[in-house]
Amino acid sequence: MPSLKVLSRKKELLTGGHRLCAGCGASIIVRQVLMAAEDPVVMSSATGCLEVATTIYPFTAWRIPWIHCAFENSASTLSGVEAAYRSLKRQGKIDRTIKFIAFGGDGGTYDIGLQALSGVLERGHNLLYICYDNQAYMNCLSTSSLIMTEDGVKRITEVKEGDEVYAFDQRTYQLVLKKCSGVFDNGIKDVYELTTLHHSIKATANHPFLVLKRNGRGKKNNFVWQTISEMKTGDEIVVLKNLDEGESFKFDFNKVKKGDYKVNRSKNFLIDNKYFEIEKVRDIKLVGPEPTLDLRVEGEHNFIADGIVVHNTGIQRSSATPEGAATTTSPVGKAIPEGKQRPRKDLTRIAAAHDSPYVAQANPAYYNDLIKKVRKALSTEGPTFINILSPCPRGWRHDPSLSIQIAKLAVSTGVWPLYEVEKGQYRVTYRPKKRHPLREWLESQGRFRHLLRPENKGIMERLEKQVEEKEKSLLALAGEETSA
Amino acid sequence: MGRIVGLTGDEATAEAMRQINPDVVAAYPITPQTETVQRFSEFVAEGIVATEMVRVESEHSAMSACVGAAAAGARAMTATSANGLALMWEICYIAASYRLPVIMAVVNRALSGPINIHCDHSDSMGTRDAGWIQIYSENCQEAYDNLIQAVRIAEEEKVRLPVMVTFDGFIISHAMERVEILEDDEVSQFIGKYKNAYSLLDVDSPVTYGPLDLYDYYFEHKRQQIEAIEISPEVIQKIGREFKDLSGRYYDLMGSCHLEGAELVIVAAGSTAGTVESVVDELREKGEKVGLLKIRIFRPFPAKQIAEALRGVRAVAVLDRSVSFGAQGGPIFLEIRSALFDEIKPPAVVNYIYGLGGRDIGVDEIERVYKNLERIAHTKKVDELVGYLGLRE
Repeated sequence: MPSLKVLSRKKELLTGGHRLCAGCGASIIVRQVLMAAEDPVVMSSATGCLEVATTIYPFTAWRIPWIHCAFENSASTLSGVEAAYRSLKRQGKIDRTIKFIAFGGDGGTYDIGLQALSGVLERGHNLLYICYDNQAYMNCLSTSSLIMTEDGVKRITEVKEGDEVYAFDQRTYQLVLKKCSGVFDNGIKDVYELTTLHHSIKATANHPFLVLKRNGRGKKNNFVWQTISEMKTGDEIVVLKNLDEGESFKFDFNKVKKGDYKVNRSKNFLIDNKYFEIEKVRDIKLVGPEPTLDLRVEGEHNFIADGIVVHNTGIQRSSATPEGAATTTSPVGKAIPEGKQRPRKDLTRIAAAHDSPYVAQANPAYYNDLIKKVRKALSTEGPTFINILSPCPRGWRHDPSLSIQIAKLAVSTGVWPLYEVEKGQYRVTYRPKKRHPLREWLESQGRFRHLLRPENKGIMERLEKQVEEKEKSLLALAGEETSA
Repeated sequence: MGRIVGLTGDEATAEAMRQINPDVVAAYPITPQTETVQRFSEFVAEGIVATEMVRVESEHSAMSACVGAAAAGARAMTATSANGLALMWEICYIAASYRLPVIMAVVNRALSGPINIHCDHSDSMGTRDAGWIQIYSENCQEAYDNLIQAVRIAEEEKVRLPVMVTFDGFIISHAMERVEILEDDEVSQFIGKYKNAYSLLDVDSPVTYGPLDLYDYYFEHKRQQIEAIEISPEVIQKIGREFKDLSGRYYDLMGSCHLEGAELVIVAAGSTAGTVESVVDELREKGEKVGLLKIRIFRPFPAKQIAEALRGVRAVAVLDRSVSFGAQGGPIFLEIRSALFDEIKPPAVVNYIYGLGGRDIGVDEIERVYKNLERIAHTKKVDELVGYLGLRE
């Protein structure tokens, strides 16, 4: 097999500019897989992060023919494509050699797509199914924050360096146009949700809001910038009026002058202001760590976001979620201190039980192993399956720069053994010299943090035991010694 | 000219499929569609079709595979009934929105629950908003003819929509009738070759099917889909004329009607239209001014043509073999009544729900409907807007 250096010179078939999170395992896996493929590939994807983030219409990041149909049918949709290929080839209407790869996340494979996958494996289609297993129903970075720019309202992802965006001059309280000097991925931060009557915005603790300061009878009221950490329920903040999405909203900042903030004693502050009004903060609550995007603006370090952040709630448990992981639907509580209470489904072995000619488990940190497995699968006649662990910084709660390191930990601690099943024969393809304690894996991610508490010691031991037993059973299948 | 043979509805469908010779058929067995799939499987086993048959593990996968196959430039077909269609529901919408000319025979059967294997139209009526063109057939001949025309309609460049051809479970699917079959080469010439300009297998010009389509484009794409189905009637009529040149049998948007001088009209779809027709013939011999309007194309609904056809009629009874729970009547009734709203002198319109779960409908009941229509026309009074035929109450 050519070296990675040689392979990486191949044209990228998943282009940059897609919207997957920094540190997301899915794109790393896809790139390795497409690097491995020697023939043209047609791909299908299940509904999920990979599909959503690579194909927001009118954009596509795919340089290969690609289809997404629904959540549970990546396998059966591609089986139709493959059947068409076989039919047209037999009829002499096509003469190319084409390979077929179906992608699905763990939700679309272990859970809702299991039946379609099973059908495809049984029917013997000539295709490779790859599960990128991030161990829960995850969700992508919100890209829908709307930003006030010179050209109207834009999505935060559409704002580019050099664009003129509206900012508040913090000395004069005037609106000013400033150049955006960069769009930044701020990484995972604790995010708070602040709710007013009509608005709700997610922001970090140090995100400043314009707060009305009432200075008492006879005195002039004024505005101050306060961060979420300095604010409380009942504070009055400046919010935008009538922000209609889709409608170009031209901001005439000349009309918004300091005088617009004149305070009267009535409740309706800013009553005649065309753009702004005051709303009371109803609630501020900690949502938890989430990735954040930020704009840097010349001079003023602020910009105007509409505050209508449309977020999917994500990170729900799937049958791939490991026991002990905290997710939004298997949260840690007094009655259930361990999070998810049931062990994960062993899908790789379920796939192997279909007597598929080639089934494997891989990991993007071991790219040589992964690429070799993909090549093997694609050169095998019949339905093949590879289950690939896919780190998810958001769901697993770790720094995006650590994804590959954490993926490595999954192998060294025995959580995600690397093996293949060729014509029924199990073989461990990489085995660490000495298995590391499970604690190292658990410590690396926020979703397991609760397990480190002294009162959860028993759970940790139970999980350690499970890894040991799983390893034993795998080694027995592979006919290897269990000594390590 | 073709041959005259005795075939059941399922067999006639399988015969049409054999002659269409689709590149891919993905199907799952369900009563009363089973005979179609079984017979077609024999054609595959004997090697007399070029079809790649995908024996899927569910109807959901059947429709998914059809979507994949059609997107890959293959002519793809399937057949189903009742719960099978219900399981496909999600993907039916996707097939239409991707503008894929999938062809499906739907052998009408009542939806569960309670479970029932016999005929009503609740299955196909349930998918009436999925974006498919729907063609209802009265008998085996129509099922055969409609399926062949469906291929052309679906693949017409400006339409590119999936088409569903329905016929009544058991009543038609398992009843043997005289069917005129075209010659194989006549059919293959008539349908021509399918060419998908955006094939997934064209690896040199890759396409992306099914991207995420948010509030900034989704609406416009739906509008285009509306446009496509609204354009389809002229295509359906054009192909109907071409089919007449080939077979001598003419099909328009509405099925064959008996409306000359009719004052009292029954609207019906499926096999019941045949029963009504025989009653009309009988009553007309006695000099009664009765008529029939047979539904053929239900989606898109030919409202204008139907309103024109019913001009001058005094009272109309719409027979619905399905229920839209909580609505002001059955699905066909709602369409007809709405189509007549702008008429200057609209007829009185009543609705009869009948035949649910395969309950038989006879000549007596239809005669009674004409009697009721006569009373309504005479008194100009509708006592009961929605009634039931053949129901014990």
